Amino acid sequence: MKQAFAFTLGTLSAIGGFIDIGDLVADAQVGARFGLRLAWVTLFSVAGIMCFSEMAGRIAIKTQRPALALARSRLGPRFGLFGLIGSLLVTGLLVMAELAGVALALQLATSINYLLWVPVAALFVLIVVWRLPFETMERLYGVLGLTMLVFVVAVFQLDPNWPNMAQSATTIAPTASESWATYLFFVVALIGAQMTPYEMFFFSSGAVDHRWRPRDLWEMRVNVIVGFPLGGLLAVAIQATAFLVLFEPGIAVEHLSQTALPVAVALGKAGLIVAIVGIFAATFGATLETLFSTSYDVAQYFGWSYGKLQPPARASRFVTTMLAMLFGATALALTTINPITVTIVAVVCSASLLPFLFLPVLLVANDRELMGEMANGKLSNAVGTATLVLSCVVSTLAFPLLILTKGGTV
Amino acid sequence: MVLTVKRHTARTATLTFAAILAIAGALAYVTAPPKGLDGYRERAAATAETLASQVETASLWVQVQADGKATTAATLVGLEEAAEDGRAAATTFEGYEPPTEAVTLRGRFASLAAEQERWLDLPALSAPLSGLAEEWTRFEERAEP
Repeated sequence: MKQAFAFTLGTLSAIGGFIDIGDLVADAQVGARFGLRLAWVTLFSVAGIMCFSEMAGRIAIKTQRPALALARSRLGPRFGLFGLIGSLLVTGLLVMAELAGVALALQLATSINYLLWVPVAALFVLIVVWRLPFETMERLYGVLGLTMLVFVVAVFQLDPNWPNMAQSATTIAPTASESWATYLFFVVALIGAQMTPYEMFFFSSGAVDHRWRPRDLWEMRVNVIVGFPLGGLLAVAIQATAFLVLFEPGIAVEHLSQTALPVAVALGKAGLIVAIVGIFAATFGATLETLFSTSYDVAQYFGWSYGKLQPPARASRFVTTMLAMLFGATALALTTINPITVTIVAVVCSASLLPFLFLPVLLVANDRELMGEMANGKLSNAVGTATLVLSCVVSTLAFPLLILTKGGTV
Repeated sequence: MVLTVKRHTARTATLTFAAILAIAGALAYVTAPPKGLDGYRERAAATAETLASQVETASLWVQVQADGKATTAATLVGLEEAAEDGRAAATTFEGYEPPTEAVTLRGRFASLAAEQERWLDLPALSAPLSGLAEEWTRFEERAEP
């Protein structure tokens, strides 16, 4: 029973990691503009992030060191520093965006301007990080994150024309009113939103923090196999609800409130409240994950002691980094910079960084001397290499498409 | 040794300078005002599309609120965001100097924008909002170069 509960917790945190503000915005934008014509991207992203998270988890279990820290140390300090700076910039932006997402969810619930909620959300995050044990923290946002399933219920309640949905999902081309450049920009944005580096990094560092051993391998795999596809299902459900309600009237999604609007149409007030709770939980969970991820990253690069399981006095530099990130993100959010614009830029930057994070993990997972019988098999290598090749294409196209389409607005 | 360090510093400085130039160029491209009649008409059509989207969003919030399907707080947030985005898009477009051939187009835009301001201040009237969205769509079709 205890083990079954452990799976549930891991699975729930995987859902929380997959659905964050980037997904909430990008999925709804894509559904409203392209219907389900980009659902294949979610399938690809789920397969890719599952493959690399499993690899990262396996490396952590075998070596008791986080995958990226190990991989970077093998490729030299310059590569490590480049990865650290890139990851810090992207994940740092995401901390701000996720924190603003929490504030926006509170604004939707109360109609009080989100800027007034930003410091409250930061304080809440600080209390949770400081006071709650790791498992309680996971349980809190994991269980609340389950309310996001309201988007799946809303799809059925909207009584869609299933052949139409199937036709949209199997068409890999833009709609008549959209250009190929915009379509490709949203491919990049979705991949950046759904294969965020911090998910893999958090998963791997969490595995070390939890002191997983080889006997825990199957538990880790169940978490990956169940958690990420569930996250993918939620992402497609958000795309579908936006397609069913916002596509026809030509509504372009620019706010989190528009992501929740189709649920209100389908399920009424109760559904809307559940959706707001889900958005709050998803962004709150992602704030914690991005915050931990950046702090793990810095601490591991400089060789400081780190981890949530250690008391703050023993990992003072790790905790200080986390607090500095939180205060920085709060200050940035309070500048009134548009959090949705920041999210779009962050997911595009994230997409452009993917090959630099995937390549070292793939190399280490293939090192038979280090990994022994836990080294990559044919399936991991095939999926991993395909993901790496596509991520190189995405990385090359990310910035030109961002500029050419003016962030998907033309 | 000193020469290697100097070379490395010079390369870093060149790369940083190139990156700053690229960012400045990209920002200039993204925020540049429209050029010529076609550019102006294209921007008018894109702004009309944005405004139609805002009106449709407001209309949908009003409808779900009237059906008792949304909380008042969420509806207020949705309407305020639609109104603010609409105003911002209209103000940006009105800041562009129209070519002489597009003066009529600009006049029509201004009168529709004024009408929008009126209806978004009275969000309880959903029917006029949907009529306004249709007018924006017609404007968009006419404006497209």
